[in-house]
Amino acid sequence: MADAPEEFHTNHADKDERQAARRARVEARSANESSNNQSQARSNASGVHKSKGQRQISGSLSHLDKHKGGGIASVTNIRVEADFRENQRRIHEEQLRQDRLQRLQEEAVRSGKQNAAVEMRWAELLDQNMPQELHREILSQKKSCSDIINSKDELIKEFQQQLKSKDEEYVKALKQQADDVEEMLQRMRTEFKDLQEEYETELESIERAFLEERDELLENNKSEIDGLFEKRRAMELTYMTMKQEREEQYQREIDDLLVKDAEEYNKLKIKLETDIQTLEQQLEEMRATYQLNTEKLEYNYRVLTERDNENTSTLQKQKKKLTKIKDDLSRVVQKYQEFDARDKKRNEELSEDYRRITKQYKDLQSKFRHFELADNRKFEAIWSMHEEEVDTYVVQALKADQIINEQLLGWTWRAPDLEVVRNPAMLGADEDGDGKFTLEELEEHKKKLAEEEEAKKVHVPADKIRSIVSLISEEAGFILDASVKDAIESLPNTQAASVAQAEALLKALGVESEEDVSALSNYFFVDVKQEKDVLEDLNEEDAAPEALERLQKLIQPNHVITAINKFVNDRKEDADAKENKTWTVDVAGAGDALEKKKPKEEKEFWDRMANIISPASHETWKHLEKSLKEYTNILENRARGIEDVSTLTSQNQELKELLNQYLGSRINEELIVPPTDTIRLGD
Amino acid sequence: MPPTLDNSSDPQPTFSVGSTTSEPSLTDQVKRFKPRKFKEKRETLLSKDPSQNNPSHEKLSLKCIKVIVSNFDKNPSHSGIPASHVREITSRLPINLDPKKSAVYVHDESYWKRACLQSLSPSECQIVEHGLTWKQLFFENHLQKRLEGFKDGDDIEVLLEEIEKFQDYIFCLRFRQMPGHIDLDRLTASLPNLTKIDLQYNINKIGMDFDRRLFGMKISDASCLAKSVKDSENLTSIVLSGNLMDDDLLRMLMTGLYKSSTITHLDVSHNKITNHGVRLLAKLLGTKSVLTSLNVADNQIHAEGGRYLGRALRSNDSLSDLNMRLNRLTDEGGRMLLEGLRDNQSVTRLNVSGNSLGSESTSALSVVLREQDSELMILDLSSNRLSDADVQVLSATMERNDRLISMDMRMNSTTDGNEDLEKIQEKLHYNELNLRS
Repeated sequence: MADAPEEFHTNHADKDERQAARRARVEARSANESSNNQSQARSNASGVHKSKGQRQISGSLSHLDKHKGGGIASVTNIRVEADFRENQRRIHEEQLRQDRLQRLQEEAVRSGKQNAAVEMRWAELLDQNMPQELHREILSQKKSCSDIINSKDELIKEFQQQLKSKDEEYVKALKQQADDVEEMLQRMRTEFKDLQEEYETELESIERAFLEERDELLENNKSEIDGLFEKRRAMELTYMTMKQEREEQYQREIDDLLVKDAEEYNKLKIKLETDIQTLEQQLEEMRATYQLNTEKLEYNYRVLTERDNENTSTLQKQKKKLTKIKDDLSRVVQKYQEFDARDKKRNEELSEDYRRITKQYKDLQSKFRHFELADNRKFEAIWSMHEEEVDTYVVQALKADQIINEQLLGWTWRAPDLEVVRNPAMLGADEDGDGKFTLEELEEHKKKLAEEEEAKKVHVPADKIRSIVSLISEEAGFILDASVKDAIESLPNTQAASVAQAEALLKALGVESEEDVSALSNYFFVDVKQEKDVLEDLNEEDAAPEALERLQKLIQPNHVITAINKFVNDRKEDADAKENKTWTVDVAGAGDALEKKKPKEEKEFWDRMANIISPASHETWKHLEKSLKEYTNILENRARGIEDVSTLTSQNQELKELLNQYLGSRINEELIVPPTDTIRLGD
Repeated sequence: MPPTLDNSSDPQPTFSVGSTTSEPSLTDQVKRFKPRKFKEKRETLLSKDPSQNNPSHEKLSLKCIKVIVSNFDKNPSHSGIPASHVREITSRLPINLDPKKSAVYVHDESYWKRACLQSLSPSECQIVEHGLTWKQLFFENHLQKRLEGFKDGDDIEVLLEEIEKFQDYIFCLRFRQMPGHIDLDRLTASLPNLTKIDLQYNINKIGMDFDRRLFGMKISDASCLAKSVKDSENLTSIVLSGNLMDDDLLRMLMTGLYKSSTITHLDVSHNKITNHGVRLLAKLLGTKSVLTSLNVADNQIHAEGGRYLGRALRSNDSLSDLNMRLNRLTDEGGRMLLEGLRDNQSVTRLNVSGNSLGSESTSALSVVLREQDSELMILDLSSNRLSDADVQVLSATMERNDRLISMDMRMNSTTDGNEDLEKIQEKLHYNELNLRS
């Protein structure tokens, strides 16, 4: 940095020198800056080898900076000069102003003094008496005044002179300004041109530097590549020689191996040839034995083929037969299936019909029972209603009879026994037993029947039924259909199977209701009743299964079939009997006799009720009515006569009052002859 | 012209080595350079347009556009027109539209560029000074012309009504003559975006009707300006250069400036401000000041003014640029000003050229430059009375200063070829390079 100022001089004549100076300057600066820039670091390290272009650029930039600075300075110089001039002028101006002020002041002082002197003289003038003296004095006074004026005029003149010079100065300043502007433009223009040229030359030199650098780089790269190629060639050569050596060595090894292997091969060959000879001998022997065997087998084969032919012919015949039979079988099976299907269908239809009709029949029966009950109830209600009505009428009639007898006829009336009239059965049960039956008794009878039935039902316990069913199934299993049996057997559960079997059996026997079951049980136990009764007290304490076993023992298995036969026959007879019965016979059974007697009794009852009043008294009532009607007529005539009498008396009374009125009036007094005087009342 | 550029006219210029690589050398790039042809796209379009030969072949949209363009003055609207057609319309609009309407309805910059380039002189088309938008440029110039043509009897209401249409585009209020002395307060009140005021109360091209009274600012103008400064919230810059402004006018103006907290740039150069005026200005540089740039060049400030400023600068930390060119500070005033700078850490630019500074100021300056905190970067000492000894003092000072990058010492009473001067220049250059890196 110490010797930098010398290097910064750009006034060297030679261009190369200047460039060198520039370079040195740049170096100095980069050293000072101690930048970590890579290129600069490299330049510091190698000293000579650094980017020429970079150096050129920085050098050019600093050079241009300098140039620009110079240009700007030269342009602004004009302004600065003008400023300087202006400043000087102002200082001068100020001095002049001060000067002027001073002179004005001096002038004022001087003229003031003179003025004072003149004033003083004016006072002296008044004292003058002599005209000549006065004239002289006045003249001198005049002169002194003109002196003052002159001095002032001079000052004014001077100032005007100054003003004029000022004007000139202004014009000069204007001219100077114009010149300055011109000069400035000129300088700017030249500066611009210089700068442009400078830029161009710098650009050129930068470009050249870059090109040089590029050439150098190219050179370097080329030499580097050449060196690399050389190196490669040498390496290839060494590689070739090494390869040849290796090849020769391998060749030798191969030859040795070949010789050794040939010897071994010969030995092995001899040994194998001897082996082959022995094996050939063996082969010949074996061939002879094989020949013999072949001939034997040949013969056997021929015999077997013959047999085979026979077998095949018989097989064919059998096959034909088989096919024919199979055809027949299939036809028959088909026919059977057709029939079977048709019959099954029909069977199903018929069973369906049967089931439906049975159901309808049962429904009808239940309906019939229901309506019958309803009718009975209705009849009873109507009956009781009518009875009450009749009772009231009878009582009314008896009362009327009593009144007629006692009040009108004055006879003593004897009341008939009402209870007897109402229910003659009450008098004597032995008189008419059946007739005594009332509705309540009917009900009682019915209740009794129901109790009996219930008792019947209770008499058939479940274990009994089970034993019966098991007996039947053991002894008379044939009653069941084969198909039903199959169905039952197909059921997995033994319990369910036994239940199903029992149902099927009962159905086959025609046992449908609880009564039927009890009836059936009766058939089974009827033979052993006595024994059972005997055993009953013994069995009471025993467990149920033991009782069952005993029961089973009591029913002889031999008699089971006869018992069943009997039961079925009886049932059939019952059914026939039932069909013969007419519908007029009441199903209820127990109320038959009562129903037959009922209409007759009712008729009697109504007759009794109708004749509660006897025909004799009826006759009496007729006569009584007739006489009473006559009596009424007489009474009516009398009433009419009483009414006439009362009207006549009232008329008489009115006439009497009228007469009194007439007589009492005033006009009588006015009359000449008052009627009052003429008429003399009977009073 | 360099020889390389001359070759560019050749049909097949010879290229140097490496011309085919992806990054060719600069000379090749220069050789390949061909000036772009700026064709008027619209002209070529129109010349090929069949509608010129046969009007019936003209597109309906083009017809509509023509009708809209011809009636734009009466019925300006863009609503319902597709964007592509809007561009076409604005490109066809005549530039002499009524500014009141075009301000509201035309937003295309290309239109405004056209209008500016055709209607304004090149020196007026400095788009950099107008926010880089042509529309702003146009309207600020338009307003300037309207104001410069404003006469005494003209109705301000008409002007204000017109301004209301383009008030959004006015950022700088500027005029070079003002015969009418308009009410600035009302004017600025109608400009919400105003940031800069640049005024000169002169009369241009007056010829033989010269009258001394026509020039310069008046008391009424100053009071109006003060009021508008006080009311404005956006105003940052005031330029009142060359207005024959004396201390009284400045005092009037100060009533507004004191109350403003936005003004950062104040230029009262080329006026008649004396020490009293500087005293007023120094009050602006208090501790709460936001003023960054103050220009009092070419005034009548004497040594006393330097003292006021120096005192104010001691406590100020906002001012960075101070211009005192062409005043009468003298050596004493310069000393007092520079002594004030010693404690200051904000002033980077100082111009004291043409102030008759001498050795006292130099010693004060050297003290300032020795300060480590000194922010001074650019210094102008030209046209003063610095002697060789003073320069030597400065040179010795400069050896320890790393901030200063420019010091103008021309036109001083130094001898030619002074070594100290060169030393100083060298050091300045070194500082500048340091600053750049």
